Amino acid sequence: MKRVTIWVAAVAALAMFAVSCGGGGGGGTPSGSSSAPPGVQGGTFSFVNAEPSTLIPGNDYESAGGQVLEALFTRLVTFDFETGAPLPAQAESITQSDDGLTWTIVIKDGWTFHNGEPVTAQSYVDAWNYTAYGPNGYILNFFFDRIEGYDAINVDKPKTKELSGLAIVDDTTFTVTLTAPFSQFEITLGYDAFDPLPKVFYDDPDAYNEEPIGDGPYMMDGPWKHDETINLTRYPDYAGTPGFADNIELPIYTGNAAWADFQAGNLDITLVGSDHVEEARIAYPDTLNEQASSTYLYLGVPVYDERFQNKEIIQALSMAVDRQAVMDAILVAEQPADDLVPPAIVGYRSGACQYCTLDVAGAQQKLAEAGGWTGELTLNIYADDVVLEQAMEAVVNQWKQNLGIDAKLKATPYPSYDAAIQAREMTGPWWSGWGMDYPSMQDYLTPLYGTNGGYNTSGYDNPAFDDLMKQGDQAATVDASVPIYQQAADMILEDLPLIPWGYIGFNTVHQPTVTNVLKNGPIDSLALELVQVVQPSS
Amino acid sequence: MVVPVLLGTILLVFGMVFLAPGDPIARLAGNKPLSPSTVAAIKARYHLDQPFLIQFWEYIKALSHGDFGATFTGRDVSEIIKERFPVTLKLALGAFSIDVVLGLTLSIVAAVKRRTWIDSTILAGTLVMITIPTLVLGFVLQYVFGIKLGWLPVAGIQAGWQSYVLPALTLGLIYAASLGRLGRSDILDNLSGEHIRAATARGLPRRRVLGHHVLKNSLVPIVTIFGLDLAYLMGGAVIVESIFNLPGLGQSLIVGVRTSNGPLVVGLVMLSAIIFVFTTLIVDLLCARIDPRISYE
Repeated sequence: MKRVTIWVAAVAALAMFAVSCGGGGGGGTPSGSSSAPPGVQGGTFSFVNAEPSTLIPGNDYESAGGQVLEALFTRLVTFDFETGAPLPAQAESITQSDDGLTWTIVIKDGWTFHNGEPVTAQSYVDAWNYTAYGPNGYILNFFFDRIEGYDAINVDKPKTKELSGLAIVDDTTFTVTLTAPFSQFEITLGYDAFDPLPKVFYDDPDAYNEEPIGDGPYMMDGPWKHDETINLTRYPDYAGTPGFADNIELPIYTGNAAWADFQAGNLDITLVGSDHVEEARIAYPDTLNEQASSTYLYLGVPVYDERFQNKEIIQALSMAVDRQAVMDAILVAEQPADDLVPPAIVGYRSGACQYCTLDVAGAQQKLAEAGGWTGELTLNIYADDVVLEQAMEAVVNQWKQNLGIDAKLKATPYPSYDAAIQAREMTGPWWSGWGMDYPSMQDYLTPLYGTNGGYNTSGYDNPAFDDLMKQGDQAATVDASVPIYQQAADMILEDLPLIPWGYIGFNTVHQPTVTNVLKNGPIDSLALELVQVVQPSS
Repeated sequence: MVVPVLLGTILLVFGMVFLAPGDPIARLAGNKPLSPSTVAAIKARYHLDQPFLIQFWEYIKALSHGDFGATFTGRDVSEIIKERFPVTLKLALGAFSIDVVLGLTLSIVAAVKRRTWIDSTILAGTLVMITIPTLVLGFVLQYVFGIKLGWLPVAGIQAGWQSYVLPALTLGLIYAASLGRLGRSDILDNLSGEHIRAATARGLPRRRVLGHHVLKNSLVPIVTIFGLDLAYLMGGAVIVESIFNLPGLGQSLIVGVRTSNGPLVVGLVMLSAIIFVFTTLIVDLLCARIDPRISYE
């Protein structure tokens, strides 16, 4: 669960985290045959990337490293491109006990890491224990907080280094016992925190970081060339469905140079940020692919401030804004939000937010019913983002015109901005974004609106909502949980402790030298193993 | 003099970065509450659990061994500097050579050919050049020569020395234009001096008059400007590195500031300060050699 700052997303313009789509074939045929017609295999292509902070799965919480790890690893689960539903990948099966507390994970037999070491249940359990062990100081430590024994290995001086909730049954089977039922557990397994690790990792994690070894369709082709490039090559003994290309280059860019290189023909695939979307629509209409990413943009509302405790006021504010117009003119890489989750998430309902469409008369009426607004209304943004400033200026003007409110914009340097949000000291709505950790409605709801949610910055406190979320967590399957979460979402959509704004696009454009350039379903990364090079060199 | 300046700079930068609001560890973790022992482990790693002066002292101690510390994502700052310094150095030297060669040529030609059309052209041209923002010039050069004509690489350092041509031009042209104008007026001042008329009257060849008497006297201000230019260039040309995706010190600084990566920012600014101080020191010494009237204790 992480809150994402938009300019970080814009600068890096890269995916959240990733799951490999390889695997899914039968039980471990060593040289899995490709289902694609011959002649499309092979070749080399390049895709833009930024400098990762690390390539150790348990410590990587940003998207540049995530994109690399997506190709280097095949995780337990992957996600359906259409529905976003979880599918077993390196796992053979994942089943839940009747009481919902114990999950039995059976992995596919015969898989190996890039150095030849077999992938076993131990590979997973040891890796999970390592990241979950507090004193190792790994950022993704909190992903394991639902597993029994987590608290014990995160105290000041833990007496053990292992989660008591993990148990190995045999080489290909292990069980995970949670402290409370969690229907979305299977979905969480798609994140790199849960990657298996080869034994060599533990000997020297720093060396591993320079040239990581995974179990996925591609392996490192030489070490990580910091700030220059990361090159991958096909892993010949991959047990799942092989990728199409033979080699993948991920050159590292900061700033605008990637777009320039793409125009010059030096880069095969690049991401298109808001500064180039319009240009791309004109220059590259055939290969531009605009899709909503998993980042959810919204205006936070300080429910802890009594002026904002009347939901009709917030509803009025939400209805008085023409999101589409602002996005057509300024924030061109975004799409208006009509639900609390992006379209690729299981459970998304188009048009679920009834206060998200422009309705000036309705807004005015609501505001009047609520008793009107007196005094100033300050919309907060962080400083140094000219485009955002223009967009939010438009919103402020719309509130002035449509509702007659004395609204104004205030920009604060980012560190104090962030600090004030966390400390619940905001005096008016603020611009914010949320990036998911795993593609589940639950990850967009509980952290933001749960009374003890990890990122509840609005102060929203509703026991009925908390109860519904708990019920959803205790459902027997993901499918069963969705209607319950949707009910909970409806509560939020009515009470509006936020003003939904939009979804950022995950937009790609490519040269005619490659085809089949696809986003990884609900995950914000490119499905590198599916890209086909049009004229592969033999 | 050098040492207290440096220490003062370190203290100032250190203070600004570490006492600023916002918690970089929380930012790393996406503001999700980390377990106490994870936070303790990360804090201990970076001495963040110590009072400010202790942190500062630890930093100075490590610095004296050439250890700039580790960034919040675990990489050695000295390693980052080692990797990126050559890139900035090459860019700086490239731009500097253009600055020196073109700048001097422009100043001399303009001064000698003063009040002719050559002088006017140079004056007009340099004026245009110094008003063009670095950003605009960089993008234009990149677009015309990189994308449209394809003569030179667009970005990155993969193509060897060719990768530095456009970036060096972007910086060098603007610096040279500025130097050209200053140098010109400086030389003009000297040209009208009495000692020059005396030398010409005595029948010394023009070239010797120009080269030995005029130029040598004009050198002090020009060398000072060269020194400052080089010092600024070595600090890392942030804009140019960004446009052309050169993995130099400037680019690193932007990223460090954006991600509140304290140790990285302090290390880079420190390095910049050290380079600046030493470059200006060398320039001062050079000037003393050129002009014996300037003496240093």
